[in-house]
Amino acid sequence: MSHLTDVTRKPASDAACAGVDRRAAGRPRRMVRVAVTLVRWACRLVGHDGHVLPGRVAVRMQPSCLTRLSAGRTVVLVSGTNGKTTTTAMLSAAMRRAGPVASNASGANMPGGLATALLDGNEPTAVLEVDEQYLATAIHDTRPAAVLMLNLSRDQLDRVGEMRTTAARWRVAIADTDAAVIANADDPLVCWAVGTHHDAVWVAAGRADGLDGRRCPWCAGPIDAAPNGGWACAGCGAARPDPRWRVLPGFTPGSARLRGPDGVERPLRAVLPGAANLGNAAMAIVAAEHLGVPATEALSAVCAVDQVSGRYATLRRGAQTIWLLLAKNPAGWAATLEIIAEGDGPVVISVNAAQADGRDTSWLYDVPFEGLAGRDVVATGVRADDVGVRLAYAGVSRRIADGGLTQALRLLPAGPVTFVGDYTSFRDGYRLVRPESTVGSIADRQPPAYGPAGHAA
Amino acid sequence: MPRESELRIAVVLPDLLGTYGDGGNAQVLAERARWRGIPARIIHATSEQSIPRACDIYLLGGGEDNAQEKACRALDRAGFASVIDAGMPVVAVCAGLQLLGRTFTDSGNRVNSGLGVLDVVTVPARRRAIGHVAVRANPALRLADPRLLGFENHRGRTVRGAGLGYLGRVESGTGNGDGTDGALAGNVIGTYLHGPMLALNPALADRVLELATGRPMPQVLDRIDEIPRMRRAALRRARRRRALSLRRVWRPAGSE
Repeated sequence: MSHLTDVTRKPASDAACAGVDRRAAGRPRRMVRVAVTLVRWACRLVGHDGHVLPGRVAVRMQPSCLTRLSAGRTVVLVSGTNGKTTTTAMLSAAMRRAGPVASNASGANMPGGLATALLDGNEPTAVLEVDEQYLATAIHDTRPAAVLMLNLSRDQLDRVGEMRTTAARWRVAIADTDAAVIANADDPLVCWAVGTHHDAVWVAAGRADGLDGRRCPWCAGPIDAAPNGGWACAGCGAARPDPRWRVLPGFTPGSARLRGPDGVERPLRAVLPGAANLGNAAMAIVAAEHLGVPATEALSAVCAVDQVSGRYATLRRGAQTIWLLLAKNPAGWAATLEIIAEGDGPVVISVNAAQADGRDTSWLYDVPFEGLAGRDVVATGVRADDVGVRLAYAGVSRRIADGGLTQALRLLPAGPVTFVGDYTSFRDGYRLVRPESTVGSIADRQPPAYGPAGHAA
Repeated sequence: MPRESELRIAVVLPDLLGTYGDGGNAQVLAERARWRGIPARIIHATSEQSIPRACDIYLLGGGEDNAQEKACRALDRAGFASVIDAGMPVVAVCAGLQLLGRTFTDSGNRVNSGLGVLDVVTVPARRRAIGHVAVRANPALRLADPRLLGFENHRGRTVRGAGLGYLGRVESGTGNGDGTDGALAGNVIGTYLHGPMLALNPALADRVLELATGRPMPQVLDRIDEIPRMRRAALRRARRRRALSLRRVWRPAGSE
């Protein structure tokens, strides 16, 4: 597509209108709009989802187009290693109480996906999930009103690189922005990345993988747990900032609370299961409140979210009920194992380790799969054998389904099945199961079947 | 190792050198020892504890830059070099390999002195080496299956001193950057291969167990059916990477 390159090179005016100026009022150049329409049309014609391509073409033709599209809107960016898509869905739900919201709900979180979400309409508010690597660019381009920093842990080292590098990029971008920063105080690396930002709203939202193996981002010293769920470095004295909002995990499922700066404790009964989702919910509620949605309303909208692009959805396929979960790194798996530990039904684990997942599967050895011993486990996906070997060394008996999810399901009896896939496995699995099934939500499920009973209420 | 006692496997500084999943090497060794009726125990020696002296195998993994320097200083203080001098088997991966060397230069061009156990010097390479690797093991290891497979992710060019052996000759991938991977000196094995390496290469895992116990590891068949298939697929991926990189030479970047 050589004409695209020509267009990109020609106008010298792009650099000039990188800032929000009069001409950048919400629309890309006419030629870009024509191209986008054509691409959309072509996507529809070939049955492509079109979540990325229109935006990618627009950004390629006019690098300032993201800035133009964001001008005049309230943009909120959500980033972190885990929970981006879920938190974005929750925050969108809360913000919709105040008006229409644009969002990249499909999880297309690189510049092309961001632009596509904004090209769709002219909603006054945009809630966008952003890949960790692109947060700095996105802050520069969209001039957000608020940025949510969820957590940083190891993920896709071959694509994303070391987390320290990612955090350093965040730190520079955050120091520069005048956006409100809503950050997870329980993650030391997030705290380091926030740096000396003047307006950070700290939320004690928890960490899925605890503090195990975490080093102080300031001095690489040891980090220990402190009272009240905090953390402190024995080396340099760095400690968790005083959180204005705090998730108080309950002793029984469903009894968690969110304590605000006013001291009021509101019950946090998220439909989505697990402690990690309580953290996601808290981050979304705090952000929505900060942007003017009353906390009570935000809370009820956020807690009602019951599935996120198929994640956590329960789909019926023949005599089986498949619960779809996504986990793609050790922290995500830690959260997932906590959720599925309650049940005793069969589990399908699918790992493709495609480019978008990270091709190195070493991280499987940092997941405590030992907890699945005794369950009926089937490994599938492109890297089914690697998963099988890992499970074998964890003492878990398993079967291998070379033929993907279809074959895996055929190996299993009627009844509930938990499916956990990495990014591309999940996408493929959801596409496979969805058309031939009835979609149910977690709320439909019988409490003892999966997950902590309290969350199913 | 005395006959009746358990095999003690030390994971050295997992809090600093645990980023790349290399801790799995310990699980693999422990499990394979147990299959042969040898009780095994994994000891995680974090930087807050002293490095245990009386272990039978020491494992070092990959880590991030600043953690690597910290790990090196901690090991220096703990006198880790003397553990190695005692002839205990050591498997050091990536950052672990680099810090056992004489010096390693970080991406900010700062030269750090290593433990000096291995006669290697590591400097930053022009570009990061990321991808599947296939290596033909040094014949001195006498492996039943000499092909070693793994995944590398580093930006180090490691130069071995004259007389220091290599772990393997690179068939596809980068390794040290000179056509070889890692280093082999006595019972010390250094490599750039993650995977974890001993999970992908059970023959090498058994060789390490033989070094540690001083007795042969009888072949245990059919314990994990997936291993041969996993290795064949890993080799295919490594070869595909080589084919792709050859194509890149043929058609230089930017010509598209």
